[in-house]
Amino acid sequence: MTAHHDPSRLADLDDDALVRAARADGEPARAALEALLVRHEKRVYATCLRIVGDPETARDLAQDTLVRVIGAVGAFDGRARFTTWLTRIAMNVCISHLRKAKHRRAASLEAPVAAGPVGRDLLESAEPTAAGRVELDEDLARVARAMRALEEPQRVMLVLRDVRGLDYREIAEALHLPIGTVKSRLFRAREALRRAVEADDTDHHE
Amino acid sequence: MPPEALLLAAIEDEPLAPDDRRVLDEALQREPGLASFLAGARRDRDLVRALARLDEGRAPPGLARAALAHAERAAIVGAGLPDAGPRRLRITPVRFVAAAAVLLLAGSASIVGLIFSGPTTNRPPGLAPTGPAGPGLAQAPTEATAPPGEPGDALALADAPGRAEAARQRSASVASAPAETAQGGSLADAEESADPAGAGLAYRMIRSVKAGPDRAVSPERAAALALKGRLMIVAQTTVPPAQVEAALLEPADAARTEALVRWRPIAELAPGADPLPADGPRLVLADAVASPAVLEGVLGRLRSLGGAGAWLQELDRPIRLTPRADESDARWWLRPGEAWAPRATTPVLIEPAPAEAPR
Repeated sequence: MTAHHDPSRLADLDDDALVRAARADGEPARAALEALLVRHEKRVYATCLRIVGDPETARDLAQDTLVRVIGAVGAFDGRARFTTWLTRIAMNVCISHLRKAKHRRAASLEAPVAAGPVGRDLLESAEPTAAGRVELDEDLARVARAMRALEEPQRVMLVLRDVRGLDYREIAEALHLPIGTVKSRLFRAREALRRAVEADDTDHHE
Repeated sequence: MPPEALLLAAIEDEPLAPDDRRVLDEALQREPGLASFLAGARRDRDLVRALARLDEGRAPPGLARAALAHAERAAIVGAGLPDAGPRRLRITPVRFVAAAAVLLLAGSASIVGLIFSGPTTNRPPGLAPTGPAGPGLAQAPTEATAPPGEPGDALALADAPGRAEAARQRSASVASAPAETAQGGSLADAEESADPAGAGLAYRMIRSVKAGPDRAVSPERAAALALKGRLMIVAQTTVPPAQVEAALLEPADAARTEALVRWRPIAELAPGADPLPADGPRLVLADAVASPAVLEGVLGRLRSLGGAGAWLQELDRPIRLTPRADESDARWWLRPGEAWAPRATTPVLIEPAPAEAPR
């Protein structure tokens, strides 16, 4: 039995192998597709959440993204990495949602940013003290609010880079932009985020 | 201030070349706020990445399985049917409108195809007529009919340049509706549109028509006659008829009238037939939208070129010709609304004006 047909070994396959297996027919293909989607579902959700800001909407959009991936995986040509292609679909779904439903923007980012036990080890600078945990939670909340304050293109840049972990070339592929433009926009997005964090900090202390 | 690319590299912790490192160090010494900015930007970056990992930890379980279940239900019951299951997808207004637009487009294409299913419509080439063209008009397959088993839809044609070219070359010939020839034969007997004998009969029929303003009809009646193959347009000119013919056949003229009228040389009907004398009357074919306004426009064009009269004349017997198809027919729904009317091929006689030509 090959890894393609052994559900227990699907997790060992890389994305490309799973895509190839998923494009076949039959139950093994379904298992491969499921393994592929399960592998990426959390990241897709995180991407959608940081773009739209609302957990409920993010869940809808994440599922919408995955459904589209299921329908289009047969046409995936492998020229880009699967994660890049998947991210492009997620971004299209989220941006499309934002543009047609601006009025439905939710301001619910503040609630879910408390780091809790999962978040405490996330930052190298995280301090093990209670005071340090509180400070980290505040920082996370502040940067989450600042992200929400950014213009959509700047937020997209930061999500692609920091949430999805794409490199410049992959961002360029996802957005159909030259790499130089990607770098320029990413820098300006970081500048804008910095300003937004500082403004939030000022507001918080006034 | 160092260039953006250098600052970005510093934020992203990318390795810097010695020269870049030196430029950055100098800038940090020169601009006190720069170090704070870079440190803050790095911290922001780390926090956003931390947020992403927190988000992943909070992702609702079963997203992928729910998506698969949704896709499988859709495959079973057919996409577009409402799903009673616990799906998370929303039927947003845009999705609804997009689906409605697709259905409307498909429905419109079907309706237009049914309405204009006569042999001289501007339906997309390759679409077979769906029924009799009208009372007393037997419907026979046209040359543009798709072969059995081959999809004859317009999009298929648009996607197949080779087929479009073949259709264009074939469609210049005569359609196969029954019609008595001037010699008493039936065009239906000889009509295989690629058959030069059938085309030659139509050619001879057109040449045998006698022009006379006493047979002139109104544009409204002419539009109906055109669809039955019983219309001819006569122009009388004060300039050599060949000059008018040449002007009509200029490509620029086709562009001027857009998709409403296309002119073709009569020689397309019977390339081997005895040619018309160069200094005598000329015959051309007009593939024109069969509407009164367009026919009036054709008359106006002929009058402006010929400097004399022009009229629409009823024929005793039908001469049924098929409008030439081209790639634009495959995108007929993109045309202006007036161009959606059926087109008819009408012979146009251009002859020298007598002493007093009717206007």
